[in-house]
Amino acid sequence: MFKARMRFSKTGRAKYISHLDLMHTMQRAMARCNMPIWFTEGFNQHAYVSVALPLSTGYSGEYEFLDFNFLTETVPENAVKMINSVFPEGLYAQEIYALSDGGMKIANIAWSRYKITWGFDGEIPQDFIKDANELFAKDDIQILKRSKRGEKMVNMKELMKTPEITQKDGVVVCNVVTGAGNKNMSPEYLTKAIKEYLPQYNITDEAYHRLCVYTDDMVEFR
Amino acid sequence: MLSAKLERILPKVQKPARYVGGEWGSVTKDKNEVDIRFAFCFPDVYEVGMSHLGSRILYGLLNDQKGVWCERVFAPWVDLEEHMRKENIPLYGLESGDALSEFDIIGFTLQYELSFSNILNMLDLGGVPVLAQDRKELKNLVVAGGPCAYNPEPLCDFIDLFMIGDGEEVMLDLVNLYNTAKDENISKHEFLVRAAQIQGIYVPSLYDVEYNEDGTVKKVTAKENAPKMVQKRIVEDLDTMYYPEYFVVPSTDIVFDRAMVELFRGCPRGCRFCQAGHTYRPLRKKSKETILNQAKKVLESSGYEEISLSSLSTSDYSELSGLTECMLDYCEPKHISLSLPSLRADSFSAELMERVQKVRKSGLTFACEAGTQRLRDVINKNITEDDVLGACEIAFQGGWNNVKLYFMLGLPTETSEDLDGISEICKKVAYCWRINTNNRARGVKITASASCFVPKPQTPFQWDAQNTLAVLQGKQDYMRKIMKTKNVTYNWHDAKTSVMEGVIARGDRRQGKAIYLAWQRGCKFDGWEQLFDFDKWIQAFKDCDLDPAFYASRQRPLDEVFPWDHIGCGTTKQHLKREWERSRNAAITEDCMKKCAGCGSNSLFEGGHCCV
Repeated sequence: MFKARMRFSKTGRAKYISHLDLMHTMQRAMARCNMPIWFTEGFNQHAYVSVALPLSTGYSGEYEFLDFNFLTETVPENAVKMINSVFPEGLYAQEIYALSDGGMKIANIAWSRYKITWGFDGEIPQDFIKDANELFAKDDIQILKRSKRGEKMVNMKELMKTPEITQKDGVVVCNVVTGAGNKNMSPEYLTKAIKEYLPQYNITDEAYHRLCVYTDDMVEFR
Repeated sequence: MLSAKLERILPKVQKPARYVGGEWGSVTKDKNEVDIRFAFCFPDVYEVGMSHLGSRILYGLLNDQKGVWCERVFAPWVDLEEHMRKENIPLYGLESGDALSEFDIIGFTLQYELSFSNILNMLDLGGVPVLAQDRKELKNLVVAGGPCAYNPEPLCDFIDLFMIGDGEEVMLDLVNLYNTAKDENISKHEFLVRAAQIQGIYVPSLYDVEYNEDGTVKKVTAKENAPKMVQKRIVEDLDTMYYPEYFVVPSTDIVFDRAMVELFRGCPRGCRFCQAGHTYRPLRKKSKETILNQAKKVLESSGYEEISLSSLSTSDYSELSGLTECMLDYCEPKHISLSLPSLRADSFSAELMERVQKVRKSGLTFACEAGTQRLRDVINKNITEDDVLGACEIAFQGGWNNVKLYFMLGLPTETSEDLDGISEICKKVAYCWRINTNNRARGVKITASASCFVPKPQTPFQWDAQNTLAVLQGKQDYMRKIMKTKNVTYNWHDAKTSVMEGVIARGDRRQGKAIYLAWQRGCKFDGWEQLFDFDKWIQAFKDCDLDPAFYASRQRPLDEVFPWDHIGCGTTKQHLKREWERSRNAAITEDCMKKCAGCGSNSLFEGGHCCV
């Protein structure tokens, strides 16, 4: 038995699958393609799978990770093909690999890169991109952040890197790196900051898509 | 595909995964390549509808036809509905996202009377006229089937035709006729007249109902060559009957989230309160080999970790022991657990128990139904207190510490002695645990649930008065006082929903007006206590000059013509009457395996022989 990791994407209709449901969906997909994975023992035996840094329900992502254990000596040939042939719409495995020496630790994930899409009723307001870039170029942006310990004013710039905001196909696209893990900040706070500091703009559509996750020194997680 | 408008709303509602489709096993076809688009509608939320085996069978069957694309439609919860109405998003098929109004045939499954208002709401939300008379074209034909179709009358204003009995064959006949009708470009009326000639199809607009001065039915007259009596359809051979090899596997949690395979149809028992027991007759079995085959296919294609062996009385399956043994050989190495619903306390064995708990242990439920032997004899629930205690003893010795007991309040001839009996049985079960458990420290959870009896059409109790709301509530109060045993949790069911269910269950077609009015005034999801508005329903009936008590709490004379008498469920009214008479003497009737009770359903078989 050895530890293994799958990198997968979760897009389209699958973005509405919640964390717990995603685990069930993965377990059943594994069973459908007879993937030789380890089951927990004891009272409630189940296929052991663990989702690293689960996305919020409604977010899509193309750099997601699932950890599990193989019962075989090596990763079965065609493992990626096998699982992709039994996934529901929107889930897609890119890579399945053994974690030698335990691999990178989930706890070392420190940053996520998101693509945020903002839409408006009608045209993109003329100065929106300029104003948004100016807002996020500041060193201090105070925002009320909610956590398990309650609400607190924080400088969101400490939890993110300066975003790139551009225009594409009639919507605004914001490419941003935000804190993950211990200094987690949801990309929704960028939308909140716009609503608070640039109230003249009325964003009607917002979508969040995770592009990548990194360790503290911005090495791509694997 | 999901519309941009919908995507904007989904983040704002609870459990959005149930509204998007795209699950493993869902079927997508090119709409330009099919002749018929069928919307299979379940008038409740996704989690409930997706748990229903019948819908899964018919979804698979219809999509197995080359020219048909069947999609699923469920009732959106109130939060999504509000957004949909505000943003003008019509109710849609989960597979294509297309509005209900784009479908040729819109079929509803009728599982429960209190989901009727949702049918109206779903049609309206889908942009389809709610009243049958307002739908002039063949397109958007609204059909229905399922248990409540055994008294379809309250829905006659809304549904164009009903399918009575097993759906597997009649559904295909319907689809074929619809295809022909489209080719020949005939009118909706002409189509309905032809459809009425198919056995098992009831077209309510082809029947006139006359009433007596006291409000009861005088007579029902068939028009345009429609049959006087619409006898239900059955599938004779379950081994050759269609069964899906693929299940849709929801990507979100549903009520019964597991694979299912059907062991047999019909029930040999004849409990007098039970509609399914009388309307699914005659008994038809699947062979062990067929079941194993189908179970394996369904498990392999779905990846489910649990399979339920379903039927109305699973422990009556003649080859159950061999079947569970073979199932376990297959399931155990794959960590798949077996679940056996509808086990009877009188046939529960240590061996069987060991098999169901081999992989994962689940709860155990025994339906006692009534608290005394006298009342259990009245309802022909042929189990004794010793059966229940014997089953519990086996379970407790086997390490179970979670047992559920089901009862009903308000059964015909019930007295306070019968209510005391419920409390007595619970006490004895609790004592049984104390002396049989090998681990007292772990404790026990005994749950006793009491629902309110609703007399159903096509049963021996169809003549009986339902207890009034005041009487039921009085009995519930009394129960709460006497159910004080330690370790026993007592649950009860809201009496108001049962009363409303009772009113509609034995209703006639005049009720259509009241259902329409109640829906217009906002009634929906009436089976959900938090949304059910009893007073609104009662007011709607009053405003239509209908008396709810006339339908529910009136003892009906044995010679009364019922609104559903022209719908045949296989079991004859004569047999039901005989059973009603026997019930008043607390005389039991043996199950079909021991002795034929002459219910008449064997006449549906070619040759007239039941195989029990």
